[in-house]
Amino acid sequence: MTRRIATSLALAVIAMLALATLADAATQATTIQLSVAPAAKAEQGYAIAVRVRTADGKPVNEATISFSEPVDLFGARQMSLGTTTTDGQGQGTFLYLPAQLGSHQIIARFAGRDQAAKAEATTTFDADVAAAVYQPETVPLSGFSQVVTVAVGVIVLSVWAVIVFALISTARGVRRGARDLGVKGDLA
Amino acid sequence: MAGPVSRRQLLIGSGLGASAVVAAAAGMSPIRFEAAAESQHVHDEKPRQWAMVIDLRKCDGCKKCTEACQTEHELPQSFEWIKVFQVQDKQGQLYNMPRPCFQCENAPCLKVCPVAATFRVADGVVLVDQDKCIGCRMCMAACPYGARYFNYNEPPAPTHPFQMKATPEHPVPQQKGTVGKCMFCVHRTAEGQLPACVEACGMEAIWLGDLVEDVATNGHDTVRLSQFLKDNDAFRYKEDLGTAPRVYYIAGHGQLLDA
Amino acid sequence: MDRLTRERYVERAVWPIGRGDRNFWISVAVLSAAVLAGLYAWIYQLRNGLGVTGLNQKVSWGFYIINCVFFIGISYGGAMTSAILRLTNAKWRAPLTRIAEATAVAALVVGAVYPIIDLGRPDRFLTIPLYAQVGSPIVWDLVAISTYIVASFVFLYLPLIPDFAVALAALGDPSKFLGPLYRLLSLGWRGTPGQEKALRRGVGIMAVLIIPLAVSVHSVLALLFAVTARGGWHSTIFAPLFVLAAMLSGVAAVILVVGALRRVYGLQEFIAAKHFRYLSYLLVALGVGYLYFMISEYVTEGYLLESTTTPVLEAIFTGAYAPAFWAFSVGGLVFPLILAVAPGRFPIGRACVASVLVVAGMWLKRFLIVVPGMAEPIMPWDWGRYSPTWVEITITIGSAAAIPLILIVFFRFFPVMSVHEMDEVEGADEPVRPLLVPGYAGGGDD
Repeated sequence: MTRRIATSLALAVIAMLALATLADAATQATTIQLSVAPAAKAEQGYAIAVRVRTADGKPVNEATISFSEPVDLFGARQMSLGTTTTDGQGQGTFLYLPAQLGSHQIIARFAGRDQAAKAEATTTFDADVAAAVYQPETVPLSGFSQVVTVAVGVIVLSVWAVIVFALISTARGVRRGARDLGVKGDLA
Repeated sequence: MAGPVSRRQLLIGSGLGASAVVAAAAGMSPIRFEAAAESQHVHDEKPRQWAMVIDLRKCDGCKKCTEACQTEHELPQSFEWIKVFQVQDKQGQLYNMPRPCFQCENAPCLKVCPVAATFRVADGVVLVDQDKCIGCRMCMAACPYGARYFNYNEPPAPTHPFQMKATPEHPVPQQKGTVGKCMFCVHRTAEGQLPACVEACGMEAIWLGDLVEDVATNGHDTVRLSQFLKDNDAFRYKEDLGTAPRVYYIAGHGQLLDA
Repeated sequence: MDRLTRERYVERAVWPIGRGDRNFWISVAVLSAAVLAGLYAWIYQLRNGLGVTGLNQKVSWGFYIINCVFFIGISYGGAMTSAILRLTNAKWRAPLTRIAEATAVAALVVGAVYPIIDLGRPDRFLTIPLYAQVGSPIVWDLVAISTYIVASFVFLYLPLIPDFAVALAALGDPSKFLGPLYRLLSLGWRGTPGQEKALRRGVGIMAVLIIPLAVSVHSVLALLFAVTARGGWHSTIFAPLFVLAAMLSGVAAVILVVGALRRVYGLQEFIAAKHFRYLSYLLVALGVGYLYFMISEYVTEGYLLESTTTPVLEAIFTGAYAPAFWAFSVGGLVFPLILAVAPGRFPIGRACVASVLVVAGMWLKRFLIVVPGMAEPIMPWDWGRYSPTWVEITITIGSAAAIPLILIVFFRFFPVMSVHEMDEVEGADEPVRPLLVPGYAGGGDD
């Protein structure tokens, strides 16, 4: 009788231990809590905050979260914005100053590691702060150049006027002299 | 009294005439850097400002970009609108440098063209209207990057016999006696396709980007352009000349060739 | 100037007119053959495109641009001899001005064709005024050269007005064609005080105007190169350098043409060693000035040795272009200047030899400016190469032949020395005005 009880007890203990080990080895599902809020300084744009936790509520620390935004550039693409690493509380922030105003969709991805499955979260926010619009370099001195150009144009036209004047006035002077002498004007 | 009066009249007349012409000319902007709505360019509705990034760490000098461009535009062999140089830097390391047209914002070629055959469109690309070009080649003398090519001879026979008429956006076939250059394949970008060189590069070394939306792609990866440039210390070639080029390089030091 | 001498002067001035002797026709035949060969080469190029030249993607400017600068430079002899000497009241200029002005117009007309020859689409040349961009050096070129051509023609014509009347008187009635032509072009010149005043004012205005015009033309030609970022081109001294080079080559050309025509037309009595000596002084003054500009440029560039200019300096001082550069500097500049100005025998001969060397040297210098500037490695590639083809060489020879051809044909119809200028300078012992032209007043015999 004692031998049978002992064997059952041993089997039960072994079974419980096995169960316990198995339970510990299972990868937990992860959740990412994603939110966007204006950053502390307006010129920094927006702070994207993430909080990564496993299904049982434990924070995932040292997790690399990569952020991307869907864009349409020769087809639908994912523009990678950057990464952040979570701290002990599973929290991380990423500063984002969008290039354009309006609606932006942010996707946060966690690649996953042992005991934490990969996860993804999406949020959309409306940006009313953005980076300055791209300005092509202005050509320096362009206003001044235009003034110079007009001045040169005036000079060129005046020169032509003087040439025409020299020719015509000399011709007229000579013709008048011929007329004054009483020679018929028509010389041809 | 007829003499002096008529002389004065002549002077006043020419002076007035000259002033009138000059006033009319000054009313129009005498220096035209942009063509006014001449381009038949079909935009996707976004206001783009194209730029390129070339990652010299990755270029292996295969020249597939050059070949793809020549095929795309039916160019003769001497035309390397994107030309790959093999350069040895001061440390003696070899690297390859592809050079397209830099589409300079302060382009010397644009300033010197006597007939405005070279003009810039709204998205920053500098085009050549080969119907206007007189072939004086002043732009070739002025370009500090040697990016312009002159059609000394008849270009190769077009492969498509019913080719649409060549336009500045799609200068195929080239015209003899005029100048041609890289135009960032605006005929492809207008249709939502990457330029021929970007697509052909097997090393994913050439990126096309938009400075307005601040994004760039090489066909595989897509990055935030300004961040990409900052993170990789991108530079522009001979930018101290004041040309303000739209092509950025990420310095390579022979990484690929060494390996 | 006494009457007899003046008569002889007029006689020599009109001597070539209407004289179609054997030498004349042989010269015309030979020169025309060369010009026609040049035309044939140009037509060949027009049909086949610029691919028939030695130009390529690196060296895209060559002989044609060199020749444009060269021939327009030759034309500065007119501005120098006629205008500047008039304004400085140099009396010895009188027998030379007509030759100088005619040479200037001939060289200018030939030089101004070259930009058209160089175009890839010359059929679109006339569209330039339609689309002209005022920021373009090519447009500046067009404006400056066309203004200068018109001014040179006017400057040639105005002093001819009285000379037509003189020629008409001296020749009687040369031919059915020339008589009416002279009558028309002389505008009824009699030499009255009113006419003299009008003429003097007109010529005075043009003499003053043609100098800044001449300066503007070669400055603009220089800026064609200087506004680019190429080593050896982007130099602030380029505009004055080109102007001085043009004046130097212009005076040398005048010495040559005067030397030749003096012999051909028998003008020895009026164009003497004195004239060549004075012209040589002018040549040397300009040559020394040009040397100074060169030294200024090379010391400035050669001291700092910037990366853009150093390859060009190396190439011209010790590299591929060194033979041409030293041939020019020594054989085309220093030596001929010494030759011309050294005292001793054969002043005319030495002046002419020196001028040949200077003219050839100046062509070489233009070559040394254009070709190394184009061939230099502006990107990490090798030096470019350029060798002209028969097309470019033939066109060059043809255009060079066109200038003497134009001159001997011109002097077949117009007086070779300016009588009026001589009268102005020398004054007349007897009043030669008002000019009484036999058979002219009141519409006499035709």
